[in-house]
Amino acid sequence: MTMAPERVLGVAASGPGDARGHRSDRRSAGRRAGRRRAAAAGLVFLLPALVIFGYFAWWPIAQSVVLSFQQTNLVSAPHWVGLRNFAQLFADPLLATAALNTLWFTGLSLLVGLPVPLVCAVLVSELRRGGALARTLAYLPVVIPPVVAVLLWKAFYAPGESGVINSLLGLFALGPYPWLQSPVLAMPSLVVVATWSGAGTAVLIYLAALAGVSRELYEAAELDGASVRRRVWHVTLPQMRGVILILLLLQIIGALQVFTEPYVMTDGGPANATVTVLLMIYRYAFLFGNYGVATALSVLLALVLVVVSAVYLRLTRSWSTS
Amino acid sequence: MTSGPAPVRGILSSADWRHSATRRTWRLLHAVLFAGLVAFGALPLVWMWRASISSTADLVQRPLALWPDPARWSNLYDAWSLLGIDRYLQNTVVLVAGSWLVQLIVATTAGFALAVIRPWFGRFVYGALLATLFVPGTVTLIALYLTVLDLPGLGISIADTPWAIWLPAGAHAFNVLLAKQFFDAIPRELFEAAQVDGAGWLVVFRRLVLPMSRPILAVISLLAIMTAWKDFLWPLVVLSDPAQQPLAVALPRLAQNTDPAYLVAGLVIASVPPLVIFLIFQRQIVSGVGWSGLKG
Amino acid sequence: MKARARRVLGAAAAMALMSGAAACGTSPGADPDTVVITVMGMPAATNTAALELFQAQVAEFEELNPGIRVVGSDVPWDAKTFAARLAGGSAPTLLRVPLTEPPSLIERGQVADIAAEVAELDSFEELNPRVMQFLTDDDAVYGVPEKSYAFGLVYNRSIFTQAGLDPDVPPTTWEEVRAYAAQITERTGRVGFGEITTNNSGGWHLTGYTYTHGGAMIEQAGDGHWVAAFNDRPALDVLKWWQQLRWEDDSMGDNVLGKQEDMLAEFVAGNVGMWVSAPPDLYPNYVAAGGDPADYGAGPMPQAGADATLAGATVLMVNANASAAERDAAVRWIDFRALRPNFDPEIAEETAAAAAADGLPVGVPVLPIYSQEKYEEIQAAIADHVNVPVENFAPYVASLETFEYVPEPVVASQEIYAALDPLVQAVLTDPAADPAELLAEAEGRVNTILEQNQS
Repeated sequence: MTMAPERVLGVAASGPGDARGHRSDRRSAGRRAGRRRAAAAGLVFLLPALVIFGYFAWWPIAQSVVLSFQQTNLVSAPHWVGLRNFAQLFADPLLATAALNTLWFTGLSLLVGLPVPLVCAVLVSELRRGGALARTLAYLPVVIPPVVAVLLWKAFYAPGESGVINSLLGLFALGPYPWLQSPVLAMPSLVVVATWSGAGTAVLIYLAALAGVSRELYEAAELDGASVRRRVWHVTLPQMRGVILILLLLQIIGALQVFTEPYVMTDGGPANATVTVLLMIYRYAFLFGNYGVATALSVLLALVLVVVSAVYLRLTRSWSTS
Repeated sequence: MTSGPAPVRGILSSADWRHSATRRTWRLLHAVLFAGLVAFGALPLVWMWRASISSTADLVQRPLALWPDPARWSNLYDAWSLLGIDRYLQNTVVLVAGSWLVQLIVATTAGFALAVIRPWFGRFVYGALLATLFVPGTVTLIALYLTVLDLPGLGISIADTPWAIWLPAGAHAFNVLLAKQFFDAIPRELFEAAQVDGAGWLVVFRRLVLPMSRPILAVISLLAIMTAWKDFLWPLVVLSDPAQQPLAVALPRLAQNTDPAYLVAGLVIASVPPLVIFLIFQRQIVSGVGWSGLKG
Repeated sequence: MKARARRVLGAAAAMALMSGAAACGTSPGADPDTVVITVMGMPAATNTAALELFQAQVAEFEELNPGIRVVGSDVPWDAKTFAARLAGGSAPTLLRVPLTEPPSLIERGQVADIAAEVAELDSFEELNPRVMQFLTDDDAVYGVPEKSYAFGLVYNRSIFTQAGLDPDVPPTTWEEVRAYAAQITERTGRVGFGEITTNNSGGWHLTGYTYTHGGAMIEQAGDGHWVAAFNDRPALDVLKWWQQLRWEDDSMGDNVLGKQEDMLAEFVAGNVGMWVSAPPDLYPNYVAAGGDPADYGAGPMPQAGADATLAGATVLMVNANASAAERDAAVRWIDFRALRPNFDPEIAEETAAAAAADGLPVGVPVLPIYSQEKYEEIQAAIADHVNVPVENFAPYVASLETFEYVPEPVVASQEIYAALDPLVQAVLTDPAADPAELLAEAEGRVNTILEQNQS
């Protein structure tokens, strides 16, 4: 940031050099000089982005591929190990557990996180009063920092009869349930938290999309005698298909990278029931100092994400054209 | 109930609302909706507030109460001073402010270069910028960490300094995309007129483009601030020195050996700034300005 | 637009000021001749009395050693984050870590050789060789112990009384512990026997319990390589014992996913009858958290035939990044704060008087870091200031004389513990868990870890 003045000086310095060019055709020369000046100025204005992206986006992306074939522990110099990082990864029985857990988390969060915001949005959009209040309430959890949300819900999930959720269920003579203390319930409990902090955004996006659905289509459907339910099914949902599909993809990609909830709430427990791929990457790198294997797993995750996106886009394209 | 043709209708028309069975169904659905929204949107926060001024014993004995008995206001002060929340909050503000500034600078300068100056290599740079959108940050986490530990060519480490948060925050291609698209829509005649008047690009940028770009600057700022405030994994990794950590990283660490009541007080303090920002911009956020395609 | 520029500048200036102010807290660096060392082991701000004593000691030390500045760090060693702190270069000059850390720290070159500096201390030669063997390598010295510990049973005396048990006669075998736990839960509704299973504590406890059955965690194969040795009767018995308490007797409560700090909080609140820890180590934290000294009971480590207990230590090491001057300063501080009060009777008496005046516990019976004779000499010197109900520790102290001390695994212990946490968690959270199968799985995992650490 503080380098801006030098950059401005840099423009000035390149000025005279440009002026030196002579051509018989003055207009063409002028245009070329203009192009060159634009290139110089463009470069100057792009410099912050080039430096920042160069260091913190392009270089790490390239490095990831390199690192996954190296042994790096920050103590001895990195050296090439071929596919050994990947071999070590596949020999780790935790990899299968983590992959399955991550898929389970993703599946569950779609099961809850797809229909709930959609239904909410449809209901809110039909409100004749209190729409702003409803939107605000729906969005409030999103405003809370994720770590706060996670720690708050950890308190809600306290086991035994004095836990908040358990005493709530106790009013209906249910429970107490062990929630985070149970290998079976732990993952669904995390999904609830993740959905709680994410659903508000989806509601607002769906609402924006709902507002864009043409009124005439509803009018026409109504004139054809379509019931409300049929209007939702045959007009609203098809019109929203694009938004729904994009959010679905984003949700899948986000869920495959889940970290904060299992890291803070369960640390992967109990009995590895909530170890996710990203948690495993974190442990390999920052607990065991094995950056090569950690990066190898990152590369695998990246491949999965790319394949998911590609397959998804392919499928949705064929649906929308058929 | 309004009569006659309603100017705005949704799935239901005014005729539907006059139909008593439909009206009853939807009233019921809306009642359920509000019950759900209050239960999930408001009550957890009300409980958090209550817990922050309760004694631990009160929390255990009456977990569902919405008002503490006795109210222990000193929790907030104790959390603030004894847990060092004041310092972590200050760290957070510094980190968020710097990330915001870097993102604004990178997004506006790059957007300006790509949309207004349009050098011949612009589309290649733009392509390379957009390509990073397809690689999520978590995937390059380790490589980015090792980069920050030893900046290539410079041989210095910015880990455990605010720069480790500020600079990588700028590598956010979506901001550049927003800025470029906004600048693209500005009529080019304006720039040409300014250049005829002898204005350089810097002047065009500062005097012409930036002042016209308030809406997009606001959107980028809001996204930048919200993202930076919520960020957890990256600061956790790169700010291992507790003296530098933001609230998001410090709170789970403090949670490990802190009286629950103090901890919840800390949670409340961490939630207040984003809540205030939200309430200030509530109208813009909630009415869905620019929501299409935005997801943090 | 000028206003905008000014605002941006203002924000930048404010940021610079704030980050400058933040930096001031950690690096004063005004006088170039001053050596500044950061040291772990500063008590948390919530422990006011201990923090005041620490600060008084820092002030005294700085007066005695002009040119040295000591900056305390109250962030304790943590299995989850310490490696990252070291790698990131933000670890303090003086490291305070459990005895499980030195092998890997030494191998990775992350700690300094302080042989030259410690040679000048009168007390160095007398340090207990049982601990020093982990901290020395030929002529190199990488650290000194601050305190030693051995596992024992910590119990709440008043809960014992309420449950109709004699608080002066704690259980000595696991079978007795089980019966006591059931009785406590039945009569008082409290947790009979508490267990911790996260942040490597599950593996740590499994190791300690296995030792009491005569088992081992790892052993050296014929070729000198270490391999897992716990897929055997002793560890299996431990797991089955846990299952009995958890699923048959229901005497372990609902929360089995905590770590030492969580359990301590529950114990202080009077919700837990018994659990296993290092009784003398825990006591100061117990008192600082508001626990009643009269309720604190320390019994022998429950046994199943081996008469053995896990022994460890907290050790002080110097960061490899430290300069010669910083190393020297750090060793002086180690001597000042940790060693002298255990070696020099006069200093011990002074320190004890100051601690007692601040209301801090004095006279907790510990495992000595010097010889037994030295320990008794020091105990005699501080006798006037003892404010701990020493008689409550008597059953524990008596056991120390008869038990064999077994060290923690010498290779990759924290990684092994981390791999065992899920096993312990499975047994305590899943009623259908099969201990034999879990042990076989864990054996494979630990062998992989051992292989990677010995290649």
